[in-house]
Amino acid sequence: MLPGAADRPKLAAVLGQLSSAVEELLLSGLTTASEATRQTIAAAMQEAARFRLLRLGSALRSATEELSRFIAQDSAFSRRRLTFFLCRAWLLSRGLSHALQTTDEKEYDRLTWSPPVQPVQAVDVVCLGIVKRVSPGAFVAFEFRLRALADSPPVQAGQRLVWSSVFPLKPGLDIPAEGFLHLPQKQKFTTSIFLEQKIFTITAANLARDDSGDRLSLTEQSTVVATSKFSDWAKFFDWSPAAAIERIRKHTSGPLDLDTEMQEEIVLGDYTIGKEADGDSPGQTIYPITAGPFHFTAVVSSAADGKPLRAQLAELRKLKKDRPPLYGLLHYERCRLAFQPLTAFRPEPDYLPISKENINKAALLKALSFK
Amino acid sequence: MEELTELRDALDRLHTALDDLAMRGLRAAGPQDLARLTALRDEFRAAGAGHVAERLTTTIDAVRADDRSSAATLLRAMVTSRLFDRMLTLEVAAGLLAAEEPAVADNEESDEDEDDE
Repeated sequence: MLPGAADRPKLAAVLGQLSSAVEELLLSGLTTASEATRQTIAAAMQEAARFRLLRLGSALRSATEELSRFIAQDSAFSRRRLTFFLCRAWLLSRGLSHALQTTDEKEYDRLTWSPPVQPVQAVDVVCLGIVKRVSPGAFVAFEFRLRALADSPPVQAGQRLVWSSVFPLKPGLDIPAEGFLHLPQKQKFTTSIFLEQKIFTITAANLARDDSGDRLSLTEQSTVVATSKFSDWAKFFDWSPAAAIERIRKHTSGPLDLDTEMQEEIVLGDYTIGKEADGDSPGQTIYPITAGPFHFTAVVSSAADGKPLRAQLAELRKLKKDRPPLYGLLHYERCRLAFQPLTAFRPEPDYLPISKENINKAALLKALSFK
Repeated sequence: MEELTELRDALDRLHTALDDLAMRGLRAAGPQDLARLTALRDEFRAAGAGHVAERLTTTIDAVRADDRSSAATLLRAMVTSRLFDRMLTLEVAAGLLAAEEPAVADNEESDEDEDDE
């Protein structure tokens, strides 16, 4: 929905400043980016949040992360990623400006990416996999890949669901990402319960349709409770390449597509893992994985946050037979099948990116200055 | 397959060339940068990607004229090349996923025959 008439000139001005700032940066060179540049983009990010411009906010957040890496001369800095997100932010700001000028509400809604939200009274789910993302000095994020066990309108039995939890990370704070799983949520649970291989009942949540999965979000009234142990994991080993091909055929590519947008949850039964090598971008390690006629490229962080997954893949690689079913996310990138391994079923789920090392909760709370 | 590999390689080189320009700044672009972009433009035109070639021509002209609009033309070229990359990637991915289980290799059958003997 277009913002109110009183807010439109303010938003138009912010969008104009943002696209001009990106253009000026390209004229003078990204090497001239400074802390002031980062702050300009951070200010635009705040405005994007205020006007609920989710897509723009997300692009600006990623650009800011990369600029911070550049300014800090971090070895994980990726200029490809920086130019990608600056370009995306420019495209969105130009498109939104145009939609405001022409009062084109449909176009504005498409660019702000506001999927319709439906309430979910209660749903029983299990956790098939956990994506871990660490951006040093910025945030730690976990994405829980869930599966509904029974019909619970608007959720259907077997439906793939995603719930994410993001924790801001202060610069200089050096604690393992897994520590954040033990922090209490507003809804009085800790996300570490998703590691318990149990059935969870989630109540008073919201559901939003998304290309990368139907997303659950929690409300102030939500509850998340672990109930009984779950063992019938094999019922979810049902990946079909034909369905993935059908989704590709139906998809119309657009300039705002992200490589990871058309994700498939897949399970590999009979597979081999090849020797690791350097990835295309700095800070990436890749593993060739072959399953039948399919050749996947698994991309893993070379930094500390990728250590548990690298160790797990090395262990799976050594197995000569009886490799456990491997669950993960498939997306399409650089004309390749990119695979993100998440879980080995032995037969209980072993969440591969999550470190098994014990967390000193007292030290964690002290480091975070919790009282 | 060879054509695809060449196109993939050309796309990677194009992304790198455009990123290089953005990093160093369009005001600092010299004859070498323009020659590199022109060669890529010709390569994409020859490959039948006329829309990408057209965007590159506009960028080259704007940079040569030291026009302030060159930043916007570079960004448009980036958007177009990435969209082309995405469409190609999805086309290739659909083909890879449609791969059939390979038949048992002849030499494996021969080995078994030899074992039998």
